[in-house]
Amino acid sequence: MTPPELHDHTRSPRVYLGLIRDWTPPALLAAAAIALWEGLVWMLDVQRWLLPAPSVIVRELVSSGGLLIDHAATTLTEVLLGFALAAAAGILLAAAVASSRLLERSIYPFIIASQTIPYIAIAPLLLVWVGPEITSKVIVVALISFFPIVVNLVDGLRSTDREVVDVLRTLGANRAQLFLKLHVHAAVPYFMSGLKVAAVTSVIGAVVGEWVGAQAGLGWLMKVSGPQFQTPRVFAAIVVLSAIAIILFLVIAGIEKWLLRRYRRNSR
Amino acid sequence: MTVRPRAWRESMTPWTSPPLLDVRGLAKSYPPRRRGEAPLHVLENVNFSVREGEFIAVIGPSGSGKSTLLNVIAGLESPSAGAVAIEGDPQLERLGRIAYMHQQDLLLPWRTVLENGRIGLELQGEAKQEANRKTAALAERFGLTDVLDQRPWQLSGGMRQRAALLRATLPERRVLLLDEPFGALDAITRSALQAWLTSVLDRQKTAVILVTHDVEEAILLSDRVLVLRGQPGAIAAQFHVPLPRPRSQAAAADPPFIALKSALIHSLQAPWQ
Ligand SMILES: Nc1ncnc2c1ncn2[C@@H]1O[C@H](COP(=O)(O)OP(=O)(O)OP(=O)(O)O)[C@@H](O)[C@H]1O
Ligand SMILES: [Mg+2]
Repeated sequence: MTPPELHDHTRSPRVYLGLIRDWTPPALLAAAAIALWEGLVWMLDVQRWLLPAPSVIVRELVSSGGLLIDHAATTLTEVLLGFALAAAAGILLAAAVASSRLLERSIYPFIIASQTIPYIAIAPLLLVWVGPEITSKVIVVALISFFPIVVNLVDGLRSTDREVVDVLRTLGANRAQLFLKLHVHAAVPYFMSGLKVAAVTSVIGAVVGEWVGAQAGLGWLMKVSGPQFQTPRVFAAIVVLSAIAIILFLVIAGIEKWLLRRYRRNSR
Repeated sequence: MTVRPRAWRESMTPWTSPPLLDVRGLAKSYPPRRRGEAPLHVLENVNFSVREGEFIAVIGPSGSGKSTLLNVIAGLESPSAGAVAIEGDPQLERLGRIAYMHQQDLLLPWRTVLENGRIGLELQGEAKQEANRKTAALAERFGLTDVLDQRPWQLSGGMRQRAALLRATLPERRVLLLDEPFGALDAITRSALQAWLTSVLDRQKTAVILVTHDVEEAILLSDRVLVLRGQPGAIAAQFHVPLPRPRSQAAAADPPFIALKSALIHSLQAPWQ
C-alpha cells in the first residue's frame, strides 16, 4: 500500500497534466473554428441578421444578459422538473419491467412505441389540455427523456451474471434481497449513462415545448427574435441553451464518477 | 456397469453416524438446444453419501458434469431424477443451507472484502455490527485482516479466492461445496492455499465436497476420491485415502500416496463406455 502523503504528492501534478491533455485539443479546435467564422463574416461582409460574427454574439450575450438569464431560468425550471419526472417514471417503469416477464411483455412494447410519437405534434395538444403555462413544457421534457432512462436501467437491472445471482441464492437470498443487494448496484453504471443522455434530450424537449407555445423561455425567445431579424439574440440563446445542457451533463458525469469510484474495474 | 477397483466400496462404510448429505439415483439432463435434437444427458444414476466431517474429492475430465453435480446438490438446479437429502430429508430446501464456492471468485466489485465476506450474514438478517465482528474474526484466520477495506479488484488472485471462501463459510453451513477453488491459480499459490485449507477446515465439523482436475490435490485433501466419468457422467470408481488428515505436502512422496495416485490416474484413463 502506498502511504497517503506520497500518494497525494505524486498525484496533483499528474491530475493537472491530465486536464491539460484532455482539454487542449477541443479548446484549440473551438478557437480555430470561431476564428474562421469571425474572419469569414468580416471578409465576406455577411449581414448580421443573416449570420452574426462570434464577436457580435458575445456582445449580444453581454447587453441582453438580464433578459437571457430571465428566460434561461424558465427553461431551466422546465428542464429540471421534466428531468426529475422522467427519472422517477423511468425508475418505476424499469423496476416493473425487470421484475416480471409478464409486465415486461405487456409494458415494454409501449415504452418503445412511445418514442416513435412525434412530440412536435403532441406539444400543441398538450397546450390545449393543460394550458400555456410551464406544465405542458415539463410534460414534453419528461416524455422525451424517460426513454433513455428506462432502456438503460432495464439493461442494467438485467446485466448481472447468472453465476453471481447463484452465489447469493446459495447464501439464502430471496427475490427482494437479490434486487436490492445485487441488481440495483449492478445497474448504477447503466442508469448514469441513461441520465447523461436524458440531460441533453431534456434541453431539446424544453425548446420544442416552448417553440410550440409558451410565454417565456429561451425557446420562446428564439422563436420571437428570429422574425424580428434579431439573429444575434437567437444565437445568444443557443449559446445559453448549450451551456445549460453541457453543465447538466457535467454535473451528472461528476456524480457518476463519484458513484463509480468503487466499481473501478467494471467501468473503464 | 460400474467398474470399481479393489480399493474401497460404499457398502464397507463404517456407519458411525447417519449421512449428512445423501445423493440417490441422481440424474440431470438438459432439454435439447434445437428442436429435433436429443436432450443432453449430463449425469445419470449418481449415488454417494457424505458424513459429518468427511472430505470428498470428485475428480473427472472436463465436461463430465462435476459443476452440474454441485449445482444440483446446492439446490440451484433441480435433478431430472433421483434426490438429494440433507440431514436425511430430501424435501428440505437446500438453498441457504449449503455453502458453495464457485471456480471464479464472483466477488461484488462495489463491496469491500469485509462487505463481501459478511453478505451471507447480512442476508440472514444479522445486525451489521455483529456481522462485521464475525467477519473480521474469521478474516484474521484467513489472512485477510489487512485488506478488509479493499475492493476485490485491488487484490491478488489468491486473496480473492480466500475472500470468496470467507464469504461462503461465514454462515457456518454443515456442507461445503468447492468447485475447483484453486484451478485458476499458479502452482505455488495453489499449494500454499491447499496447505492453508487443510489447516482451517480441520477445525470445523463440516462435510466438504471438492471438485478438482488435480489428482494430487484430491489425494492430499480428501478422505475419499470419487471418479466421475462418461457421457452421461456417473461415478466410475471410489478410492479411500488411508492416510491421516491433515496431510502435509511431503505426504505426496509416501509410497501409499504414490500407489493411490497411479491407481487414480489409471482409473481416469481406463477405457469406459
Ligand atoms: N445450463 C445448461 N444447459 C445446457 N447444457 C449445460 C448446462 N450446464 C452445463 N451443461 C452441459 O453439461 C455438461 C457438463 O458441464 P459441467 O460444467 O458440469 O462440466 P464440468 O465437469 O464441470 O467441466 P469442467 O471441468 O470443464 O468445469 C457440458 O457438456 C455442458 O455443456
Ligand atoms: Mg466445472
